[in-house]
Amino acid sequence: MTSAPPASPLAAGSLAEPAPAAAEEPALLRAAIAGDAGAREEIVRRHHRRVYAYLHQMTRHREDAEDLTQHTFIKALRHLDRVDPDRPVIHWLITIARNTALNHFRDGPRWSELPEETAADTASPARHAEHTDLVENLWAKARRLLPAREFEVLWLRFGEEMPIAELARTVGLTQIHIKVIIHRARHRLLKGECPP
Amino acid sequence: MNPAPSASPRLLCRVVRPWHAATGGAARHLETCADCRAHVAATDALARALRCAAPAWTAAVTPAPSTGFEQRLLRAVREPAAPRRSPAARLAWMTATALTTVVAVVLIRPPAPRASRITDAEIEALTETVNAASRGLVEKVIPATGALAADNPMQREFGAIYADARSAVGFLALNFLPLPPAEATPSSARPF
Repeated sequence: MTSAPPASPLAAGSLAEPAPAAAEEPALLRAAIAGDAGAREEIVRRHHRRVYAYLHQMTRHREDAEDLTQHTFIKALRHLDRVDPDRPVIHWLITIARNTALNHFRDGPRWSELPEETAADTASPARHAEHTDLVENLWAKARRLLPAREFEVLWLRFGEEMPIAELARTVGLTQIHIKVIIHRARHRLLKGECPP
Repeated sequence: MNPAPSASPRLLCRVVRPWHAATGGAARHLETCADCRAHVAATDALARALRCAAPAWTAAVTPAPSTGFEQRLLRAVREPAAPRRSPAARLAWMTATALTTVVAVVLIRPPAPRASRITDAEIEALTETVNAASRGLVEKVIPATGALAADNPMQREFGAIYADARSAVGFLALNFLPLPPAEATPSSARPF
C-alpha cells in the first residue's frame, strides 16, 4: 500500500562520509573475506562514520562511541566469513555495533537514561544556531515523544534504511512485531502524543 | 466548519483494509475511501520526512570524532588478532601440554633417599622402638581392651540377644525344615 521508499539520504553520506559505491561493495567484501588487507581497510574507511554516528546516538558520549566503533570493527573483521556479500554490509555492522553497545552498558546505566551530549555543546555560535533550528527536527520530536524501543526501531527503519526482516533479526523481534512498533510510532508522531 | 482531517482511519476502514489488503483490493479501497487515502498520504509523507531529516539530525546530535580517530581505528584493525584455534586443535594442544607436564614431572622428580644414608645404629634404634611398641600393645592394650569388652553391659546384651536368636533359629530348623534323605522314613514302611 505504501509507495516505494526513496533513496536513502544517508546513502549519499552523513558526517562527510564518502558515498559507498553499492555496486562494487559485494566485490570489496569478497576480497576482504579472502584476506585482502586493503579491502578490509576500505570497508572501515567507508562505514566507520556511520557506525560511529549510530553508536553516538546510543551512548550519547563521544569517547564511548569511538571505543565501541573500534570494538565493532575488530569484531566484524574477525568474523567476516559470516557476512553475506550480497547484502549491505552496513546493516550487519550496525547489528554488531548495537550488540556491542548493549553489552557495554549491560551493567551500567541504560543508554536511554544517559545525559545527552550534543554537537552543539562545544560548537561555534553558528553551529549552535543551526542546532537550535534543528530542535524542531522531526527526529528531535520523535526522541521526545517516543519510548526508547519505538525510537530505536524507527531510526533503524528510516534513519538506517534497514529492511524489516533485517531489523527484526537485529532487534530480536518478529517482523509483525516490528511492523506494529513502527505503526504505533508513526501514529504517535502524527498525533503528537506522548506515550502513556 | 469542516472538521480537521483525522490522522487515523475510521474503525470501519481499519476492519476493511486488512481484508482488502489480503485479497489484493487495497488499491480499489483507496480509490473509494477518502479517509484511508488521507491516512496513507499522511504516513507516506511522515516516512519521507523521517528519511529526509535523518542526516540533519545525525549531524546535529553527533560531534565529530576526535582528531586521529580514523588512523587509530585503522591501526587497531591492522593489528593481527591472535589466531583462533579450532576445537580439535585446542584439544590436541591441551593433550600435548598435559603429556609434556607429566613427562617433565617424571623426569625432574627428586631422587629417592638412598638406603646407605641410614646407619646401623639408627636401624637398631628403630627396631628397638618398634619392638617396644609391639610389646606394649600385646601386654597392656589388648588385655585392657578385652576386659573392657567383657565388662561392657552392651556387649552382654548383644550376647543374650545372639543366644536367643540362635535358639529360635534352631527350634525352627528342627520343626520345619525337611529331614535329610538318610533320616527320612521310607514310604513303604509308613503305616496306613
